[in-house]
Amino acid sequence: MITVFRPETPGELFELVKSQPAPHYFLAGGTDLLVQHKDGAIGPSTWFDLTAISELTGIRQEDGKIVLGATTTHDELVRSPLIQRYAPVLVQGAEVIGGPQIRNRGTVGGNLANGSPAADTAPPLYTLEAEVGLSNGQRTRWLPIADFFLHVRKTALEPGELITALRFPAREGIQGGFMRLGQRRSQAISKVSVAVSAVGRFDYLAIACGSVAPTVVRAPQAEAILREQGMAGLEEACRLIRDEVKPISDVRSTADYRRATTGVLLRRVLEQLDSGPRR
Amino acid sequence: MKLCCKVNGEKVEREVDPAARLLDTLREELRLTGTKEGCGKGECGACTIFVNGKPVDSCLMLTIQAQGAEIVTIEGLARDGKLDAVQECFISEGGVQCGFCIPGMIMAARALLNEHPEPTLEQIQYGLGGNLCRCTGYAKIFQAVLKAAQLERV
Repeated sequence: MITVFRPETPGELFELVKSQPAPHYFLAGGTDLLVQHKDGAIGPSTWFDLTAISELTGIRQEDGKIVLGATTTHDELVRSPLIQRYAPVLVQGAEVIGGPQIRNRGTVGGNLANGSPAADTAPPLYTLEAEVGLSNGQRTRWLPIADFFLHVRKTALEPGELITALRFPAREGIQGGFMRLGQRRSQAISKVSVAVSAVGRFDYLAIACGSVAPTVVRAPQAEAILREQGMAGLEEACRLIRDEVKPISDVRSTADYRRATTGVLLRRVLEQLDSGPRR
Repeated sequence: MKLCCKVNGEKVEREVDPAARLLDTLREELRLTGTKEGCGKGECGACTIFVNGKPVDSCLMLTIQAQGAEIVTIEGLARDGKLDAVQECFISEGGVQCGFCIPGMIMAARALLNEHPEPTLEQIQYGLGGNLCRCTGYAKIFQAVLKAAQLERV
């Protein structure tokens, strides 16, 4: 039995959270929660739909930062001129999630809240050095995204706390690339993914990999060699990154395959980046 | 709860279970059984409807989330007894075999053509990426969408 509420303001939401019986679930796009429910993984509980709360959505530029509401959908990310300009890597991550129906409902906050290292918005957000905004109604705190993910399905979210927003610096001239390997193009969960954001060659550079460790991981050694040598360091970076990731073998792929293809994807992303803007 | 929304252009006000999936409310309460349930997990797209003009899986929405929304189901595509061009072309090109996926497939195709009136094959494949068909092998479905785009241009 599920009881569901649809508050319209954060104040109303946190009042309900205080007064309604646990366990609590926050519902946004429903593209994961309703699947878990269908699978019988969720018992009697109280759900709070976040999609009528306008404070939790929208994309804006503020004090040199891009701020996105947690219930911004993947489709809204892909279409946003601000995201296209300041987070091209995130456009490329969001546009390969699910299919059109999923991208119209699924949200960036929901993608992160699950704590999956295969979430396709996560590596892009690592490369933007994004911060995750968390609130329990009394206190708002901002965590670097790398501190938000603790382990597979484990995040820094405390009981009663939800993701309200994400933010990252608006870097002029930033380029980005995201590539992943999955069973097919649509509706697939990544076996391995690589995200890169860069300004110049390379005044700013960040590389992050998904599905190759319990959390998304950065590749500091590959980044260092590229910063030092520019694109001349490509071969070395693609070699180094294979030892920076710590994949396992599971239902989707094997550790060896993931290690090898991380290097391949890094090469493809950097070559694409170097051949100029994609769109 | 009292659901107030628009379905296929008509105002709906009805006592419903807010925690029911929108798919179930459409099928069981409003008797709009053109929308199908395949997987119930957002993989197959058979339950695709438009909510505020965008294609979504109705199996992944709770009814409460449709409050105030404009909904279009497969029943709402035909106008004055005349089928939509996408529906016509699925018939003329043989895009239908068992038919179970077709309502969702047609809604997704309609959404694609609304956005890209002259789609490339790749755009069609991307636009129908959220829909599964186990009969046709897709070739005739893609052909039907291309044909519908041509028809609508003249």
